[in-house]
Amino acid sequence: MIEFKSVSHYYGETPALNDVSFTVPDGSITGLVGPNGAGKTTAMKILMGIIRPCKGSAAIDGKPFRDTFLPMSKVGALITPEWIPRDRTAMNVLCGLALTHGIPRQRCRDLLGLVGLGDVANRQVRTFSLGMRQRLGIATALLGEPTHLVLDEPVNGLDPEGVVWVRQFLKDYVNEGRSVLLSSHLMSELQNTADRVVILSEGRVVADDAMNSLLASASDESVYVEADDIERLIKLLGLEGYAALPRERGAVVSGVTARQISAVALRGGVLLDRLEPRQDTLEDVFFGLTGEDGRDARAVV
Amino acid sequence: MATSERPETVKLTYVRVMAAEWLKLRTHRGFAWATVTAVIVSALMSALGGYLVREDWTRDPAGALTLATSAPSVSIAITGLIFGLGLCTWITKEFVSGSNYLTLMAVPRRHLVFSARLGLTIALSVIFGGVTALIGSVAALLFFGSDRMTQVVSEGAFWANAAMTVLVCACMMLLYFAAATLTRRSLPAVGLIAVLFFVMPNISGAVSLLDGPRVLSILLGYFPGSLVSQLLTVPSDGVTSTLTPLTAAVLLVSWSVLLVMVSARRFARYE
Repeated sequence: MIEFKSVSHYYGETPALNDVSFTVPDGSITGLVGPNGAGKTTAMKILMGIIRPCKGSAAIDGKPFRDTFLPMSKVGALITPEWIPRDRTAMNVLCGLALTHGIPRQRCRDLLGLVGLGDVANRQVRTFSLGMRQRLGIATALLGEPTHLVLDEPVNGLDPEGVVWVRQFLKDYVNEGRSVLLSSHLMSELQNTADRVVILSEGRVVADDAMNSLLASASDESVYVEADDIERLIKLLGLEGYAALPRERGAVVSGVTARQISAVALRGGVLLDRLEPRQDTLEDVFFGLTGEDGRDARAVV
Repeated sequence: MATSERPETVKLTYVRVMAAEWLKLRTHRGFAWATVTAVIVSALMSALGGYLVREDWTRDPAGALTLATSAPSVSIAITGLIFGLGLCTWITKEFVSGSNYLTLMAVPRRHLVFSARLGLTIALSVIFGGVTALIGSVAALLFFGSDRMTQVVSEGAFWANAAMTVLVCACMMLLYFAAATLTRRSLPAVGLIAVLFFVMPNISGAVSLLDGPRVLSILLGYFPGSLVSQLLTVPSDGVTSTLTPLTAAVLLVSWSVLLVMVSARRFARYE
């Protein structure tokens, strides 16, 4: 289990993390999301012993990372592929790390094959695309067959095939009882992958829950409806006391079930074309909790 | 719940970390270039030295013999400066590229990484000193002749100089190592070494020549560059040789140890 206990960190006067506490249970993928500068990478660096927190502590199975026996077997991390030296070959990078833990060379070859870099094992990293460096970064994280994985934006720069591979790999990985702490800006991807989610905003935890219960609790009961005469349906719903907001070719009706709408439409003789109960996405929850809405900006543009 | 913990018999050892650092160092292009350049310069300087001493031998045998016993030390010290550049760029590159973080995520105990690099630096400086001395001897022998070489080697001063050369080389490498770890950038590290080894002795010399404050001249004589000049019996630079070789050696070692300790502390707090 990965555990953050009241972690605070400041860069000079600027707070990066403010009394952050959360856990990553074994057997789960925990998504860490937040706007730029929310403190996600700082939290991961603190966990990996790269940064000392000003207050609090981060522990892996009860111990700080710096005190773990065989660190690479305990936690594998990809913070940024920029840290991979570019003037060395992929094989050399892996072997350099493998030597510290007595990991056989064959494991490096196997891993490069697993992440799809088997054919370019002896090419210098400088010739790699971002996606290839990301794959190599994932290979470095997996090198010690760790119990926990810490991945910061692992699908950044990956092609769709790579994204699907990472998603499936992580699901199989936690099925073996291990845990993953994963940050991503791709909300839909995280919604499909993570079991739990921690949302950071301005260095504070604003949500920490299982993905399903977070989405369920955040959603108000609403239904999107399209009909042959939508204006008439909106009026009929209004008469029944249901508020309906026109949207696109239909309307979003709050505080009502799909069955109640179909009953109103039946009584009023309106033919329904589409009836879809709505649930908030992780993106909706995120924007609702962080108070940021990039979608509004896009709409204005 | 762990499913694939590695067996407890596998340990994160000093030797393993050193092997990993060596793998990184030997694939660092700057190190390869510096090593090749240092070896070539060593061979050329030794050959040139051998040729010049041979020319002098008939005119001034005593002077030639003195030169022959001290010249190799200067040659090795100069090539050591070039070789040290390779080590220096390797260490600074680890910091600049961020790959140090990758290392520290595999080996989070800073003292282990630091001491492995330090051990590697010491081992390489000894090996380098030996190899360049061998190459230099062969190159000098080509011009010098084996009879004269035997005469030079039988001089006690030759071996005293050889011992001082080993010490100077090791201290130079340690100072390079410390400078690189402290500054984390190549240019400031090389700048620091240049100040210690070249600028300060020249200032000291200038102060003596211009009849400046004697205390300043003496004080500057305690800095590494001046100490090296005194140890390698270089009469130039106008350095005031007020110290015995033993004192100079102890001071040079103290400088190296002090800077290595400061750099160790900085590395331990590295984030």
